[in-house]
Amino acid sequence: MWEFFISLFVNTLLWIYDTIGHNFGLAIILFTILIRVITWPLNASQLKGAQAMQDLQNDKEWQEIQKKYAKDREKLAQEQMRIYQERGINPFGSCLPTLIQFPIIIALYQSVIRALATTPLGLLQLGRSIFPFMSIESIIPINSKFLWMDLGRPESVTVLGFAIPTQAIVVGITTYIQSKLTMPANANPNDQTAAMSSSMAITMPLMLFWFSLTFASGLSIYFITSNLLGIAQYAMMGRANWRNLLPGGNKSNTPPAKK
Amino acid sequence: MNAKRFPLILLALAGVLLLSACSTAASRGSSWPGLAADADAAYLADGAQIYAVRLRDGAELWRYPAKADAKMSFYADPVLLGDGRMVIGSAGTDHCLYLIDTTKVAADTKTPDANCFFAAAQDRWVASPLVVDNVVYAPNNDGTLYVVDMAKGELLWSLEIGGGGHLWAKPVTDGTNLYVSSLDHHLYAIDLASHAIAWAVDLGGSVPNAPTFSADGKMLFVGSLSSKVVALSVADGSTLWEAKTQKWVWGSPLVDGDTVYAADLDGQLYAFEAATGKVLWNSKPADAITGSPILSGDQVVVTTESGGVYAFDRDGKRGWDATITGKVYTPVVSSGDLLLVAPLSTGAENFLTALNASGATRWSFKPQ
Repeated sequence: MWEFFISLFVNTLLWIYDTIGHNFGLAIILFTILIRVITWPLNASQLKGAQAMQDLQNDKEWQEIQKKYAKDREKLAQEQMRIYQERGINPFGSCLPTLIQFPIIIALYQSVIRALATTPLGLLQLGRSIFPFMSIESIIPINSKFLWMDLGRPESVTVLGFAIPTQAIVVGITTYIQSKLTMPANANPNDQTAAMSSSMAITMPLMLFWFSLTFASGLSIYFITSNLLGIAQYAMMGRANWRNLLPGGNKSNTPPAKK
Repeated sequence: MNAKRFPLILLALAGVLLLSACSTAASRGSSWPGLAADADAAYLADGAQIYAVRLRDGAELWRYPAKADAKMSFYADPVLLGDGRMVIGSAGTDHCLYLIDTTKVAADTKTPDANCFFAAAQDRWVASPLVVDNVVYAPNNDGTLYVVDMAKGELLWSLEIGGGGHLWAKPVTDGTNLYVSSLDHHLYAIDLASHAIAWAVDLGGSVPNAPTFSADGKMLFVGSLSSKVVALSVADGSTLWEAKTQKWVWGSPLVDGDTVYAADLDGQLYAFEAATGKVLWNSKPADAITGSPILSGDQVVVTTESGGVYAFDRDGKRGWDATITGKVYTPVVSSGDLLLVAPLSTGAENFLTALNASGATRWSFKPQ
């Protein structure tokens, strides 16, 4: 099953690559857009969940139970769960769009490495991943150069003798921005959802920064494109909470309402 | 640690480990053993180390380096110089061409004297170099042919070949030209006097193997990922004939007098008439064949990916067969009355197996 998933990614990537004139970086960008389009309903559903969580922060009943059970965390959790159930809210909803990226990241990483086929075994494996109706003899070897990068290797730019991982930095920043924009505004330190979102806003940028630092830069192209598209999607839907980017911004519980 | 954050951090770590595992698997799986032999020993380049194995009994004579070095990795066949020295390129991050003196082995570490005499290439060495009179002709994965004075370690000249890079095959020469295969679909003839490209032929698909000269030296036979075996004129690269195969041709053709043998990834072994390309016979012993066929006595021997070793007589009649545990991609190497088979060490019982001329196992080698 996983192997078929990888083959599907590889064939799609190579089909795009061949169609657009042998630019693998652009193929990854277009592939990322395709993934975003396919996962749009899922993302939209999660965004709704996140919005519901944000709205909950201004709800009187919610605020009352926070005060009432401030010293009884167990009871508070029970009451919170009751409200979630009554209103059909998934408290982990806002984390899911980020988590859903994991299998895609892993599949894309394997697909990029397989498509670039930098070793003899890799080339053999690539040949076997291709669907019978695809003919790749004419496009192998894949051109791994994109702008100043070799997409099969980690990227860095040397400035004054220092290798600066520009892509990894951009990945870290855009991931941070995307995470913060979608965080539900909440000042309550006892709220589990807020704690998880806050945790994700730190963990994910650091982790993707490390991925970009370590793995093929083709993966970073995916991260950056995906993040920018995510930010654009949130902004277009009027759900981007730009004040979260400011220090202490997430303490303000006045996110822009959806029109 | 905040208990609420623990599951997330655990999840993140799982992601990191999973991706790292993919990367490690790719790296381990990418090792493609290189093999060479002289009258006394087999030299197996496998993963991060090279092993010398005594042909008489399969005992390890030495290994280099003594302990695996993360920077070093070997895919290419060692090139034996005939005086106890060998040259091999590293497919690791060190980008080194090593000169190893097998006559000087330290008694305590059982490691031969070795030095990296050239490390100026931009990428790894997948191809074996050609060494003629202390001059090393080394095609690199960065798409450049480096010509190096082995004694001084100095670059004599270099030539960037084609646009696609990726030179994976050992060059061959007739004294006038150097013939270099490229994954950019071309076979290049490089004039050794002017260092310029004399001619180049587009073969319609990547060429991961070296061409083979005809018995009279006037033709070159080469297979490619366009699923063809092509005969070219050495003089100008013009196509004399071409023969379609079922799938990609990975290994170099074998020339035996008037017959050319080549195999493909479908598992077909073909015998072509060298002059015309007419198929004399073909046979499919098992699955994919990546290694070149070799001649052992009167028999043509091939290995298949699933570990089969098959012998044919010159008329295509099947002879003995044997099975090695593990996947076999490296061509069989013959030395004396032994046939040496090096499976991919990952998942294999042994790193090297010696068969006699009837296919019976004489010994197997696995590093301790």
